[in-house]
Amino acid sequence: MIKREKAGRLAFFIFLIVGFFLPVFSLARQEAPPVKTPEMQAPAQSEKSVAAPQNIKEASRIYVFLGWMWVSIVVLIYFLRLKIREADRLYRIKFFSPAKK
Amino acid sequence: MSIRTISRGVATWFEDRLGLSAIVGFLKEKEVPQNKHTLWTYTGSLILVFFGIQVVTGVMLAFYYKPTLELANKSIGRIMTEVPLGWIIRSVHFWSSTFMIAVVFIHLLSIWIIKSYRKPRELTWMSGVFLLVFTLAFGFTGYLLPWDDLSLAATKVGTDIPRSIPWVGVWATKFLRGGDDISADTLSRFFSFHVSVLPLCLLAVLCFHIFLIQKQGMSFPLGAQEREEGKRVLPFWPNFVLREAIVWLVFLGVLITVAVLLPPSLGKSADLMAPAPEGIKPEWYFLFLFQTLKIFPPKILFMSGDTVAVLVILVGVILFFCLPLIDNKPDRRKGKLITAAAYLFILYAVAMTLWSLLS
Repeated sequence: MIKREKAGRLAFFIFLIVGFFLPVFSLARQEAPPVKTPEMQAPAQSEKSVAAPQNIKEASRIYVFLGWMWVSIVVLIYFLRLKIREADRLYRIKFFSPAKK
Repeated sequence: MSIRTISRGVATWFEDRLGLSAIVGFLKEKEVPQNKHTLWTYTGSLILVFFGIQVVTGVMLAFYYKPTLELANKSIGRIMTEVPLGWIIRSVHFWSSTFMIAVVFIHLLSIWIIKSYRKPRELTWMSGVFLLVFTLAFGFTGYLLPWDDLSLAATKVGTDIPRSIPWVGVWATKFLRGGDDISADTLSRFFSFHVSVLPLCLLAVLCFHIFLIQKQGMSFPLGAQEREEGKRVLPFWPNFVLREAIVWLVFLGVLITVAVLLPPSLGKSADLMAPAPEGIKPEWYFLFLFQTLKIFPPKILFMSGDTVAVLVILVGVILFFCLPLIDNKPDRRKGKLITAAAYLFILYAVAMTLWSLLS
């Protein structure tokens, strides 16, 4: 029973971690460069380059990634807090102290 | 043969050759003081996290960056507009450096105030001051690399400051610029420092710093040994590391969010012949020093005001470096005066930064 619970927890963590990085991989994939018209050539030297998503698709992906990242962080923090509580409890009852062994 | 048997065999193979169980045993035994100042101890590992992000994003940027006068600005422009997610990588690199410098300042100031530098941790403090200098040098050298008007003008001003130091000043400026004036050599020199010399120096001092922290352990607050809170400790593994992981996650989230929402822009390619733009200011972490230089009059007795200002700053840096030797009795009156000096310094730095920003 405990093993099944552990396996379930592990599968959830793997899902969370993979999900966390999946949008990055899909965003990082090299796409075919768009055909450049004369108006789309590199900005003139006097212009200031502003960093921003290159198209609406990338912009929406970025915001979805930000949302997913914060949800994952909140869930991970929840699990970390559970682990901390458990570790503190084991320390309080001196579970790993040599005297106990 | 089961997977467990194979993994145990592999672990034994490595254990026989590396003896890693001694390190694991050490980490399991290690304890961290738990008191009202524990919050500050998280800043140390946070600096390491930001440094790691700097290394990873820096390597990615170096794939596309070209340190020549013609291509430096264009290659950054290409990273921002053509390379998939290049603008985010650059933004994360920029913001991570800003966060790292801020946390380094907080880390050192907190150690100054809680007096963790006292015996036997003098060398830990001194190596930490070296790390601060290297971190600021990273910021200074990295600022020129986009090669736009602002970075060129700021570097001209920055590399001109050491000229005021008696005897070695002219040589120091020439060394930094790779000649009498800013040129292609300055750019390649700064790039070389930024990606090879400084990382090597920083890594060497960092290893020494971490070794000292592991050897001496984290310090208790002054006089805590006698009080009840002096006896409270927390196991490093896993109790403290799990707590640190929460801090890392939160800051990682904040960093990525800020990098996405506030990416740095890029000015037009610098022209060596063009006059410096109006109102040149360095990055925020140099503003208080910049303003200090500006408040000195042009002439003080027989010396130029710039020379006096640079000498005053140099003396300040030396005193800061030697702080554990000066404050050798932290629980006495002298120690209290030095704590007051820390608060005064924070007040001065904030006031000067605000003055510079608003002027």
